[in-house]
Amino acid sequence: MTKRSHGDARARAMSLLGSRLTSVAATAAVVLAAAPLVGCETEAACAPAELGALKRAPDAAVVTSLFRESSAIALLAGDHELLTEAWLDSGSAPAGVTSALGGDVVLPTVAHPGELVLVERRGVDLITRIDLGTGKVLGQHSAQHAQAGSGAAYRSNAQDALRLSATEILVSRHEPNFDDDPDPLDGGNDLVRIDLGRNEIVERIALDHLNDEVDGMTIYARPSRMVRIGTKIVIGLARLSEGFDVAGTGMVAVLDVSTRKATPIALEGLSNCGEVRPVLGDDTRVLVLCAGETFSDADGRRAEAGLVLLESDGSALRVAAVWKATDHPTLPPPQFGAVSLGGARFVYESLSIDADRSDALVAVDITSGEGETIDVYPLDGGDARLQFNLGPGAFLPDEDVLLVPLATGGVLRWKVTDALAPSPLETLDPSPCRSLPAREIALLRP
Amino acid sequence: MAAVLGVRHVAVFLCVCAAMAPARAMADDDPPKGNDPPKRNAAEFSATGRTERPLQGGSDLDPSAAATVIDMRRRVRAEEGLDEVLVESPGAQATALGGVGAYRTLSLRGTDAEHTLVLLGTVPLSPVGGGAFDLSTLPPTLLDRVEVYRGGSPAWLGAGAIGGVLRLMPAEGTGKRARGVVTYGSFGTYGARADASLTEPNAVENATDGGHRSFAVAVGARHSDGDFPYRLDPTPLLPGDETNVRRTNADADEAQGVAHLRLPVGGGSITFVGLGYGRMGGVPGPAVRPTAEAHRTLTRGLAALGWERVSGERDAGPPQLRVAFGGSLSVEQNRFTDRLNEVGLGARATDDTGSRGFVRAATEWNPWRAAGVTGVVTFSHDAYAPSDSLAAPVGASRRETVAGALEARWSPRLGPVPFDVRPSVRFEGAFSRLEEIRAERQGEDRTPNTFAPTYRLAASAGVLPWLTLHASGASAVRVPSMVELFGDRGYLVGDSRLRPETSYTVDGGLTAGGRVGAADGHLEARGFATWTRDLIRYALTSQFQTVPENIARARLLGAELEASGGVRLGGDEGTLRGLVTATWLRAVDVGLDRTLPLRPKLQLYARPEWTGPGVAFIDTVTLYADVTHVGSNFGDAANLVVLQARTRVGVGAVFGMAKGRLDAAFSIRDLGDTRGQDVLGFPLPGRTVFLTLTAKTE
Repeated sequence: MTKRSHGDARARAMSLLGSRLTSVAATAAVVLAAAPLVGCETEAACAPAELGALKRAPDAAVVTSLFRESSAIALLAGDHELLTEAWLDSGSAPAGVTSALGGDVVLPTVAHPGELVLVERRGVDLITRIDLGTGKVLGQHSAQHAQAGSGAAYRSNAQDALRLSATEILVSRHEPNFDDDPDPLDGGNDLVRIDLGRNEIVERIALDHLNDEVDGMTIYARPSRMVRIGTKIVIGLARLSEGFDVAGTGMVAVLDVSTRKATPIALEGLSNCGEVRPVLGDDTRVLVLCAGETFSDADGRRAEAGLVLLESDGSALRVAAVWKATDHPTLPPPQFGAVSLGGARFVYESLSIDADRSDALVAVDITSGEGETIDVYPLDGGDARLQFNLGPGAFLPDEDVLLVPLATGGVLRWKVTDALAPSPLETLDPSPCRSLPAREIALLRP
Repeated sequence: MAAVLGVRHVAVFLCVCAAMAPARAMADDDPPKGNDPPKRNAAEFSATGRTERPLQGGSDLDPSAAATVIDMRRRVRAEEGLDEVLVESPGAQATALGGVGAYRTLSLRGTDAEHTLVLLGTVPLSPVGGGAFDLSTLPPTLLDRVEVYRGGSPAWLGAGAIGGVLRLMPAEGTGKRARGVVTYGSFGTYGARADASLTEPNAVENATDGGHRSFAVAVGARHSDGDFPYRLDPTPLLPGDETNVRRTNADADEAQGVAHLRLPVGGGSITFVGLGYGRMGGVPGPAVRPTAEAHRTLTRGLAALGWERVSGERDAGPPQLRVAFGGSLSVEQNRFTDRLNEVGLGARATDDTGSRGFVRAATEWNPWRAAGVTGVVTFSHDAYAPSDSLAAPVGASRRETVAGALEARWSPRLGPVPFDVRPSVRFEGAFSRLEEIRAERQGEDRTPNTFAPTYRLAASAGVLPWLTLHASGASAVRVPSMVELFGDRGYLVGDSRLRPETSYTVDGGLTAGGRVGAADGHLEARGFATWTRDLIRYALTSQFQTVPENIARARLLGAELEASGGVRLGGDEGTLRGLVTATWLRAVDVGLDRTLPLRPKLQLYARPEWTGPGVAFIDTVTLYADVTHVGSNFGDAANLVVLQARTRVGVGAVFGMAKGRLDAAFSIRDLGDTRGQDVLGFPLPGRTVFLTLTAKTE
C-alpha cells in the first residue's frame, strides 16, 4: 500500500513535470516554427554603391577587393579625402551569372581622360568605362571577339587598356589561344584594337614572333602593361610558359602606332618584364620592371630581377639605364608596383610568396644606384600567394604624396621630399564599412 | 489545466503540420512487408540494429541524435537525384553546380560540404584523401535507405564529423523480384537500369542461425546532354543586352552498379557489398565563360566485407552483445583534361589515382538493459598519386588515420519517464606524408601529424509516450583533406599550410509522434549552435577556381523543423501524406563580421502527396507536389553580391498498372522555370520533365 501510494505520488509528480515540460516544449516548438519567418532576407551591411555624380572631381581610384569574389572602387580627392569607399562594387547590379564587378580588377597603367576605366582580367575579360562627371556607364567591352555561347572558349586574360584615340582603345591579352582553329580575332598572346562606338574588336596585332623557347618549351610573349611615348607604345612582356612556371629572357615590345608593327627590345640578364610605367614629367622615358622567375623564392627571383629605363630619341627607344637586383643584395628584389617619383627616383615592391616572409617597399635611384628599404609588411597568416599585401601605388605630384595600398592596413601615405626614402603620413582607410583590402591605386588624370 | 492547455498547443501544432502532411517514410513504424528481412539480424550494411525504441527519435542507433531517415525502397519518383532526396531533411543544404552529372554536395547545419562524412553502411565513401563527396556520383536507385545525422552521430558509426554524417544503405535483397526501368527527359537525358534480388524463402523464420541468405544486384546507365538554357548577361552594368544561351560541354555519360550479398556465417551474418561507378563528361565551366573541351572522367570502385553477430537478444532493449568486423578497399581514378586552358591556369591532363584500405571493429556490450558501452576502432590508409602529363612529375602522398570511439549508455527509467544518457569520447590520429605539387614548392614534402580527441554528451528524456526532449553537446575536428592541401589543378587550388578545423556544438529540441485513428504524425524541432575555429572555406578566385582557406572563426546558429504525417481517407479514397521541413540559419564569419557566403537564412520544403485508387487500367495513382524555397544569400565573403531567393515548384504523378507490374512516373521540376543558381556563375536548369517506366515481377 505504502509502495503504491509512493508510486502514485511519483507518477503524479512525473505527470505534472510532464505537463510542464509539454507546455514548454509546445511553446518552444511554436517559437522554433516561427523563427524562420523572422528576418529571412539578406541584410546589406553597407550603403549600396550606386554610380552617381560626385561632389568633387576625384584624383585617384583605389581598388579594394578580396581578390576572390568581389571588389569595390573607392575614389580619393587629393591625397587624403575619401569621396566614396564604393562608387561601384560587385553588388551595384543584380547578380546574374556574374556580378557587377569581379574580384580581379585592375586599373589601366595610364588614365583615360575623364573616365574611370576598369580592366577585369581572366574569366571575365571585360573593359568597363564610366564617365567621372556623371557616373554614366559609357561602355562595357569584351576582350574576346567570340562571345559566350558561341562554342568558343578562349579566355583572353586582359591586362591593360590604353587609349589610342577618342574612339579606340588598345587591350593587351595575356593568354594564348590553344584552339586549333581559333576565331581570327582571338588568336591570343596579342594586342587588340577595340572600336568603342561599334563595341567590337576591329584588329588583332599578334605578338607570337616575340615568343621564346626554353628547353623545348614554348615561352609566350604574354603582353601586359603599356605606356605610350609619342608614336610608339612600349609593351611589357612577361614571357612566361603556359603554366607561368618558366620564364624566357627579358624583353619588351615597341609598337609603332601607325604601322602596327611590334619590334623587340631585349633586356639581357633579366626576365619577366611585364610591367612598364611612365616616368613622371618625362614624355621620352619609360620604366620597365622585371620580376624574375615567378614562382621562385626571393633569392631565385633576384637573379633575373631589375629595373630598366628606356629612352626615346624621337624615332627609336634605347636602354638608358639598368638597375639589377643582383648588384644590390641588401635590397629585396623588385616584383611589381613601380612608381616614378620624378627624375631617376622610383619605388617598387618586393612580394614574398612565402608565408613567413614579408612584402617590402623599396626606394631607389636608378642612376646613382642608391636604394633603401622603406618598410616591410608581414603577412599575418593569410594566403600570401594569392593575397599580396602590397599593391601598385600612385604618386600625386601636386601634393608630393605617394599612396600605396596595403591589404592589411589601408592606404599608406608618404610625403616625398628630397631624401631618397619618403616620410610616412597618416594611413587612410579606403573601405571603412566594407572592410575590403586595398589592392591598387591609380591616378585618374593622364 | 496546464496539462490540458499544453496538450492542446501541441495537438494544434501537430494538426497543422499533419495537414501540410509529410511523405516521410517512417520505415521503423511500418510493418514488415512480404519477404523483408528481419531487422534484428542486420549486419554492417543493414538499416537498423535495435529491437526497441523506447524514446521518440530519428535514429535507432542513438535516440538523442538529430536524425532523419528516408526509406528509398518504396519511393517511385521520376529520375531523382540524391540531392533532391536530401532536401527532405531539415538542416541539409544541397549545392549543385548544374544539371544532370554536375558536381553537387551536401552541407549540414551551415557547415561546409567537407564537414559531412558520407558512409556506405559504415564504410567511408568520401573521396580518397578526403574532401566533399559528390552526391551526383551515387544514384539513389542503388540505395535502400538514407540516414542523415546532423551534428553528433551515433558512436556505432565511429564518425566525428563537424557537420554530421550522411549514411547511405545500399539496396539489399528483399524477396525474389526483378525490375527494369527506362527514363527519358529534358535536355537529352535518357537512361535504363535493372535490378534483381533473391532472398531465401521464409527468411524471417530461418533467421535463427544469425542471418538469412539474400542477394541483390542493380546496374544502370544514363546519358544527358545537359544543354539547358540560361540567361547570360556578360555586361551587367548595361542592362538590356541579356541573351538566352544553352549550356555547352555539359554532357555526361555514367554507368553504375551495386551488388549486395548476405550469408549466415558463424552465428552471425556476413555481408559483401560491391559498388562501381563511372562517369565521363564535359566540364562546362562558369556560365559567363563556358568551356568547349574541358573533360573529366571519374571511375570508382569499392568492395566491402563485413561480419556481425548479435547475441543475448532481449524482448525489449538492446541485445547483450553485438560484435562487428569489416573491411573495405576502394579505388578511384580521376582524369581531367583541359588542353585549351579553359578552366585553370595552364593546360592540364591529369590522371590522379587514389586508393583506400579501411578496417573497422565495433562492439556494443549491454550487461544490463539500462546500461552498456559501445566501442569502435577504425584504421584507414589513403594513398594519393597525382599525375599530369603536361606538368613536371610529382610524387605520391599517403595518410594513415586511426580513430576510436568509446561510448557509455545509461538508460534509466524514472517513474514513467525513460531517459537515455550517452557520454562518449573519440580520438583521431592522422599521420601524413604529403608531397607538394605547387610549382613554387615542388620537391618539398611535409609530414603533418594530427592527434585530435573529441567528446560528446547527449541525453534524451521521454517525458510523454509521444514526446521526447533531447540535448547534446559535442566537439569535432576535421583534418584538411589531401584535395584541400593540394587541389586538383582544375577548379580547386590547394594550400598545404591549412590547419585542422575544430568545432564545438550544442543542440536541443524535441521529437513527437504518434497515431490517432487513421492519422499519424511526426514532429522534430531543434535549435543548434556551432562554433568553429580555423574553418576551411572554399572561396571563389578571380579565375573561377576555388581556394580553401582557414578563416579565424565562424558561428552558426540555427533552428530546424521537420513535420510529417498522414491520414487514411475514409472509404476507398486513399491516403494523404505530407512533409514540411524548415531550416533557419545564421552563419557568421566572426573574423570578417560578415555572413558566411552561400548560406541562406531560410530554407523550406513541403511535399503533399496523395495515393489512391486509379481508374480503368490504372490500379493506383500517386500525385504529389513539392515546393522548395531557398532564401536569398550572399555569393561572396564580403557580402556584396546577393544571390536572389528562389521558390521552385514541382509536380509529379505515379501510375501503378498491371497489378503492380508496371509503373509510370512523370515529374516536372521547377514548373515556373525559376532557374537560379546555388553558386555564382553556375546556373541551374529550369523547367525539367522526366518520364520513367518501370516493369517488375515478383
